[in-house]
Amino acid sequence: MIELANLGYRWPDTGSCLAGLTLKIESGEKVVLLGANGCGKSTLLKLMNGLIFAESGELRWKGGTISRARLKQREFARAFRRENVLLFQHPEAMLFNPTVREEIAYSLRQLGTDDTDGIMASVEYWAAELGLSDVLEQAPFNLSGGQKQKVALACLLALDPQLLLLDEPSASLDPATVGWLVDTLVHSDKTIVVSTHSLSMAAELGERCIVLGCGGEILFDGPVHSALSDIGLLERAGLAHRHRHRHNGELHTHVHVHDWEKD
Amino acid sequence: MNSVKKTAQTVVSRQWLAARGWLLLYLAGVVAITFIHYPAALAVLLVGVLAAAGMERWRYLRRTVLAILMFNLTVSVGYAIVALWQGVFVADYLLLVNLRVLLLMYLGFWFIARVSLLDALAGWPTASLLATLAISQIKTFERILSDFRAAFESRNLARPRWLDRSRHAAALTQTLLDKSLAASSEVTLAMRSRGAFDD
Repeated sequence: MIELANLGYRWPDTGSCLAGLTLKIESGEKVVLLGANGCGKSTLLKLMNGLIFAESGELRWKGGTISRARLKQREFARAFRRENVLLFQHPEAMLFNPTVREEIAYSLRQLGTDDTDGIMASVEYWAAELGLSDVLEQAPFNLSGGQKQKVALACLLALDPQLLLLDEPSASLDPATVGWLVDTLVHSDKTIVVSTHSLSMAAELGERCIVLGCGGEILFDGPVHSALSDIGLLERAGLAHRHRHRHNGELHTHVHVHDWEKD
Repeated sequence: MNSVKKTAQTVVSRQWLAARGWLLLYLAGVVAITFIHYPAALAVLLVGVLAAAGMERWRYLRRTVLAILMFNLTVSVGYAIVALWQGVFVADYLLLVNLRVLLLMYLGFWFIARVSLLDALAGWPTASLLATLAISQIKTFERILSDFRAAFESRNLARPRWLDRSRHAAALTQTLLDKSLAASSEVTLAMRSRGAFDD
């Protein structure tokens, strides 16, 4: 479905980069993108969503190359933006309509249909699915972080996308809502790429895991449980740290992983 | 080992001195420009500054024009309407004001791009603190702005209407004000916690 061929990107101000990324994500896969803060997870998702463009290499969507010029073609851009959606880490960046109802309806209206009843039915359906029915007439700006996240997710799911990119979706959610989100994503038939540094979320969510190193390179691409049981890999990726303490006066060190307990 | 340390210290001191020199030159330039009242002289100065700015000159110019466009346009049109109505319109004056603002703003962008403000203010603790606070705020705002732009692009399947653009701009403004207020409160509390208001 989406393919990165030797993709390279460098941020102009910080100089940090993604280097020579090559990977292929097939339809229906659930992929967890693991990495420490600042390793380029959000950048990679923005590249995959066609919001920024690589300096080298190629991004392919359903076999065709994605470029700035291609996304200027209206019909292609419309289809691409409908099929390939991104949930931003800070959901308030996505919300600008006066009510939740209008927010969810926004992109549906842009599909060019006159079926107002159909749009409203879809809005009501996704609001109910995400527990937002009571706040449909409220301003998204006044909602809690978790509710904003749900509104943003409802906006995307209403489009019935094929690829759902989620950037640190658990960042502003309480544990119960994270649980709900994991359940929703696991049972979804969509292709999903989730970036996180939460190992427990990765364990529950994905089948495949891509671990990014601190230099923006791929350290691992394979089954989630293989990655999570490789403590050396997690340490290299900055997802575990070497803990020092004393047993009977003797200094002892071991790698410590905070939010992940193996069975 | 000591000589290596000394060399490093010398390099850092030279950087500070150079930055300080540029800052003083910039401030002198700002003051000098406010004393020039001839549009032709300002235009010549602008050409000189553009020539000196090197390869990035057009990028700075674009940034400057975008930064002042709305404000200058509003002020200029307002002045033109009132002055024409009263019969006292002076084109030279309008040109002078716009050129002066353009030149001052251009110098500001050029200075910020070329010189580290923190280096230039090193040795002045209060000014350094204020610059650090301002820069951290600017970085936060830059990130928010870039996120909002990207999210808007990502959510639009078709060209957005003006109404949608204005709603988006309003949401962005509200978020920036909110963050700014939250950050100011946080900084004030942090400063209070560190005894800044105990005198």
